[in-house]
Amino acid sequence: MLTNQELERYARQIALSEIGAAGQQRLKQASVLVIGVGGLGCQVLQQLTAAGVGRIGMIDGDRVELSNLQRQCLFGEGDVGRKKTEVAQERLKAQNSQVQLEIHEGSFHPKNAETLVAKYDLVVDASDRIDVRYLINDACVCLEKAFVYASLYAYEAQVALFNAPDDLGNRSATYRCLFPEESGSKVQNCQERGVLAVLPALIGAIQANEVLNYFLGLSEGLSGRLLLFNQLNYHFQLIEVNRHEKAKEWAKQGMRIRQQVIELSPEELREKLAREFPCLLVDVRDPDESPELTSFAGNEVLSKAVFEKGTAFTSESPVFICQTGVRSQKEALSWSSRNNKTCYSLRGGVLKLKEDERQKSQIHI
Amino acid sequence: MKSLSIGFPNNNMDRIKVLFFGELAELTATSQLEVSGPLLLSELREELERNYPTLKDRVFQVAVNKRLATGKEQLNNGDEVAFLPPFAGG
Repeated sequence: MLTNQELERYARQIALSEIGAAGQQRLKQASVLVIGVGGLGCQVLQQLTAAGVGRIGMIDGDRVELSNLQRQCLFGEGDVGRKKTEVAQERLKAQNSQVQLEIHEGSFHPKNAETLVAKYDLVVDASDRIDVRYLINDACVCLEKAFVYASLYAYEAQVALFNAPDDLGNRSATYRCLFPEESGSKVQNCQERGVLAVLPALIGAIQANEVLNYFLGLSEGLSGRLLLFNQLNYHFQLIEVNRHEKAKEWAKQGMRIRQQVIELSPEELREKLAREFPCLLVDVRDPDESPELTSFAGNEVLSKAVFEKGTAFTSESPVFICQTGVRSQKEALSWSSRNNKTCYSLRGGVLKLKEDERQKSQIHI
Repeated sequence: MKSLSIGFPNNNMDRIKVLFFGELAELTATSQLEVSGPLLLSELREELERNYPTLKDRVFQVAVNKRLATGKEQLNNGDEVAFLPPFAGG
């Protein structure tokens, strides 16, 4: 039941005959997990908190940076260096004390993905990394949860409601129905390509609209349709996306493969080498990339070309290494998928490895 | 394979409209161009890859007349083809 204060607070949307007090009650009972508290996330959280969604969870392992303030309107100058989720919770609490705001520590990760998704009715993908987008898709599809997707590139955006059930319980298209394969590090994010202030707020508001629409059942919204938007020429386009018959199978496979790929820190790699020397270390970078890495802790490092020629290696679990840990992770996922076996990826890549070694040598001096 | 004349749009229905999104618009240095039909979607892709070789390295989907394509579509004048890459930012 809505209190008198709630009836007054939400009077303008209760006044819409399609919503009424019953609709507002549905929002109060609803729960949403917002993944990413960046440009999209800040806007989604503010809108959902204002509209009276009962329980809102958020996860983002980052701290506020000065360069966030241009578009992430939950944060101010005094928040730089603080945890994004903590600041967001404070601001949102002040905005609407009736909403239950839940913080989840760390980042959205294969280890916590399914546990977190299971706790909520609906998920919002407000992340800024392509691998996290696939993880959100796979966790939501496996657990039969709908999710509101949005992503940005320079002045353009894509938005969709994925994996939403229709009246018969059949689910709509998923992110993998649109882009089946992970495209790896080639896709640039806002940090790399840049983003003009208003776009994330506009698109975050559309995501919030999809959330309200989903719970209120006002229309099918963006279920099975991809919305394309251009901030400069105001072109809106809708593209019909059908669900692929293998959508669920792909999601399950994605989750399974992620469990088979283990990320190692440089320290963990040293410990592994101390236990089981020699190990199969593979540098997946192009041969001309520097700094060179031909051996590590006395263990030979093979080039990708040598590794691919060597059929004798297939019984071992390789450790993939690249410059920053992105390509090696992609290679590990692909290898693990082909061989159905566990393998490893060096977190932070050669750059982190060299940085660690430099720090260690300074300590020794 | 017939040679296509790629030209800038003037909104006529006698041509196939090709739209590029995101980094594909940057790669081709245009958000829109027109080609003459009829031709197969696979032929259009081949021709575009010849004109913009880096397109081969990119991940994208194609929509024909606002529906995600299967790849086997026959394109006729008046059709609209959209090249959609994945975006990461948020």
